[in-house]
Amino acid sequence: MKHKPLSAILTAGLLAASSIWSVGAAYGASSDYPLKATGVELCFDDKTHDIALIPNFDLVEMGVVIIDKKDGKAVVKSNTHYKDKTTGGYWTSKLPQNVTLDKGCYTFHFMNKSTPPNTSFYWVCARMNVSNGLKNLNHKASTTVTGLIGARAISLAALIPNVSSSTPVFTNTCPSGL
Amino acid sequence: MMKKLLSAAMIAFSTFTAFITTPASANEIPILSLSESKTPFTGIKMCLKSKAQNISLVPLTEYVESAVLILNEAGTPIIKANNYFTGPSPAGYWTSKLPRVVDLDAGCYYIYFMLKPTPPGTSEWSCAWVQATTTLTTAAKTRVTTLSGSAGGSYPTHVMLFPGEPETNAVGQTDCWRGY
Repeated sequence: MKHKPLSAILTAGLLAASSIWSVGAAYGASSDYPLKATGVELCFDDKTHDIALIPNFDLVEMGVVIIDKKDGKAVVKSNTHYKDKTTGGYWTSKLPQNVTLDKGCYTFHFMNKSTPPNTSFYWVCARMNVSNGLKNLNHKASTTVTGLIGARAISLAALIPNVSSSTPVFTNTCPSGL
Repeated sequence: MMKKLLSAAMIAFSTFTAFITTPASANEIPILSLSESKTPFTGIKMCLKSKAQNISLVPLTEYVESAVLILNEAGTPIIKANNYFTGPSPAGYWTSKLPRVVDLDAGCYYIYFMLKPTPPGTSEWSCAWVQATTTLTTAAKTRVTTLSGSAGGSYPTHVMLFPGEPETNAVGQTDCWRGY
């Protein structure tokens, strides 16, 4: 009976540890992340120029949505088949493109349809992967964000000549697109 | 006895939490071995343990001539892709068009991203500065390695994306192939 409190404490400790392990996994420290991870939040301490947004599929409609955390508004809504402002709808620019982001925190989503554009198929969000901003060969740290469809098909990439000031946080949200 | 057990449990717990809250970089496989060089690298040597499929080679500039050159370890070009390639010609150096998807067998490769500052047919080739990252292993459970080229150090000019990671640290190169 005397050992019961200790085992309870140890059990609680293990439970706490496993909870923290889950948090660690969300920071990319584990190979198993429980959510779909269809978005990733990065924070930048200064303005970042020349972020390249690169679609990697032909024929199907693809989109990049970048949401500013401070107000939840999308600051980039870019689509491979966007033509001009008069087409209406959700999208406001064409892929590929380079964008500039002010300092702040942003959630990146990479989306695609499984069919050619203008069909009624729903958008799906790729599973996000992010590098931790290693210093590269030329002394500038850069971050890459990639989206994967299926096991090993890379659908989209963002090349970011900057490093997130906080550990990337993955989300399981996915904008609906239009 | 109880105190000792609790103390041991606390130490184990704190060690564990310290481990799991270590910055993600601790789990990152280093891809670069010459990051302290003062010379910009214009190429990269990278080794693959197994065959890599669906490697995307993507030019990011328009209007100027752009190319990706991949050589095997013996120095023989195996990919000579150019965004203005229109077909084989007897005297031509380039053999395929960009963008394209390629497979690479296991082995070591030298990779160069090249461009001209002008439309095709004029001027000399130069090599972009090469950068490389490998993503963390996260939800997708597949690491993605990105090699990118930039003009002037930051403006992106080329990208090579492949699912997987190099077998060993990538090594920067300071030479640049001439092209044609």
